[in-house]
Amino acid sequence: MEHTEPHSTEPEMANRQGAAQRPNGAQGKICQFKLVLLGESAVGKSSLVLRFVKGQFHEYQESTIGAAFLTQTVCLDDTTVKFEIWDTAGQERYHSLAPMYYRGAQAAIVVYDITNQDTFGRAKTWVKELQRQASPTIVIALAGNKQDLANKRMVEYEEAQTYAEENGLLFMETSAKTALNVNDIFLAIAKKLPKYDQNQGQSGQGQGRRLAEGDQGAKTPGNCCK
Amino acid sequence: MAEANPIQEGFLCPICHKDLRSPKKLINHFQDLHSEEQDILKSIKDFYGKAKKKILKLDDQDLETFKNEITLENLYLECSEPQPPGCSTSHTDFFKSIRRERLEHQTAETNKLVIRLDKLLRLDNTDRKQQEQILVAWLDGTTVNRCPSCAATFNIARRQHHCRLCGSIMCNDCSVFLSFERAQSIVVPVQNLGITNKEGTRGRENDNFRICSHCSDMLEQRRIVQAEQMMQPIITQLYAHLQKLKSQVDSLVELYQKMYASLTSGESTFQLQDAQSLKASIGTKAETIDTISKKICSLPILEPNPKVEMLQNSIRRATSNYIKDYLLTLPPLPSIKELAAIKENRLLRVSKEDNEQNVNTVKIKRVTVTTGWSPSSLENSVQSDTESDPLMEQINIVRNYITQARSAQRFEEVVALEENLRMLKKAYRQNQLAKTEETKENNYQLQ
Repeated sequence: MEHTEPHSTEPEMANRQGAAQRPNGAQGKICQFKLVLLGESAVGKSSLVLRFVKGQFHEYQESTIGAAFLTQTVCLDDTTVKFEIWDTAGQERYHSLAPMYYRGAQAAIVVYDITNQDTFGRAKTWVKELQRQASPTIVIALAGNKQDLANKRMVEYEEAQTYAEENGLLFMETSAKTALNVNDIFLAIAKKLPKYDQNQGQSGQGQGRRLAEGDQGAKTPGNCCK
Repeated sequence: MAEANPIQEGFLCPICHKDLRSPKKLINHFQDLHSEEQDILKSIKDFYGKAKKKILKLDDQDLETFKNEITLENLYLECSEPQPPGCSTSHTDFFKSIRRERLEHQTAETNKLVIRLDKLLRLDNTDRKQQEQILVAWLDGTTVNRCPSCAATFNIARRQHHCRLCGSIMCNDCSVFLSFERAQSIVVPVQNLGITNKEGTRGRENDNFRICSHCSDMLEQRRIVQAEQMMQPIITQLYAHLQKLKSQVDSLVELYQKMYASLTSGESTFQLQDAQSLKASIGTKAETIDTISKKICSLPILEPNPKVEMLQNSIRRATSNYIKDYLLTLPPLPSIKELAAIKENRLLRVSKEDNEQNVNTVKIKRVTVTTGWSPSSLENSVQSDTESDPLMEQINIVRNYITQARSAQRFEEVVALEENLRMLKKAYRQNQLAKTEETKENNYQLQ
């Protein structure tokens, strides 16, 4: 299935596939990142991902069971970034599963619905939880989804903006329906991720970074147990 | 591009992407396989990192087939998500069969005990122990070192005792004493139901059977079951009482209404005092009925059962309606003055009618009276006859009866007796008249 919809916002997208398969990997780095979507149920996490990955939008998106896993590759300058996206189920009964998914994630998108104040509150608690329990270097983005319903807005842009600034989050209002800011937010995350710090000799994969992190992790428990 | 990005969904393990199908399994799987391993595995993976990179394409293919599997599983998952209730089996019959067996065993054992008890009771007091042992074989105590129920060792201070019903061994502390009276009542159950509900007293052995707690429990169980079978629930008892009172009140009210009708029409069959006392007694009965129904309504409900509650409430409602509609609407009695007025009216009316009807007879009577006997002489004769005249005696007796009946509030009887009395008086008067006629005749003849 060709990605038929022209997402003119990012021209780089056109050659991401090519970048991934570029034979001379020396020039183009490949980074792989684990990204997790969190948020109250029915705020549009799956829609956001579906829009980003497949360029599709379903008016009646079924609610996610457990979690969904998708990948998408984007090209950023000369770097190819592969997102491993974990789209979690927002329903409260699956809450206990979330830590499994955000554990070791380099990025997270916390989604709320701008037409529902409660979801914004829930998003805040998700941010708090991430700051407390997820990897300390995690890049968190706040997405105010359903921007197409701005006339029913219950969460002011400024309010969310301020909150995001205070907590050092990326913030955008998105719309999976109109595709507004969907690719932008993923790209913004990709830019913010510390891919350049990676020693690219190690691997083109984001694995490298993960492993570096894993090394740190391995040392600490090693010290405490011995 | 699509093949690069199939969507996996379900309870995916974040490490191995396996769909575990349920949150619980996923968590278990994650904890078992990936919690500690994660860090170690990662470092191991590091070694293979480069090699892996080379076979990345292969990996992708693997992943592909894997993902296909997953989607199939997803399909399964979606189909099976809202599970309808499965088939159900009734185990009642099985349960009943087990229960029946148990109950039969229990009854047989208990009956055995009762039969033994009956035989034991028939023993005469001489040589009791020997006879008891003939009836129930006592367990050989030589090998029993400890009391089977409290595990205390037997010694000189703590001696072995035998249950007279099953022959088993226990110490004194563990034995229960069943009095002869109680044993009798167990053997002949009709006499005792609900009278003695005390467990066999612990104490002297002279007029008690020493039995073990096991046998005691069995007998006690039997007693409870029997008592339960005989006993009606409190609500039924109260309601029966209520109904009895109601029927009493019904007859009283009927009588009262009769009295009222009679009184207000000026008749003198009943007396005002009687009616008043009757009304008072109806009132007190009504009060009792009311309190009983209140009690029924406020009976504690042991197991919350809406039907019981409904029953209690509706009994209460029906009763209060009954009192309101039936008893409180009783017509008030006329006062003495009113009654007098009514009576006068009636007298007037009656005398008018009488006058119209009996003008002639009255006249004749008057003639006879004026010409005939002198009242003084008649009185004398009456006085003298009082003792001897059987009619007068009868009248007196009836009068006595009336006062008795009135004090017992048997107003129907009072009415009947008064009727009797009137008849007697009439007869007496006629008798007297005949007598005076006779004397007159005699006098006439004498003259």
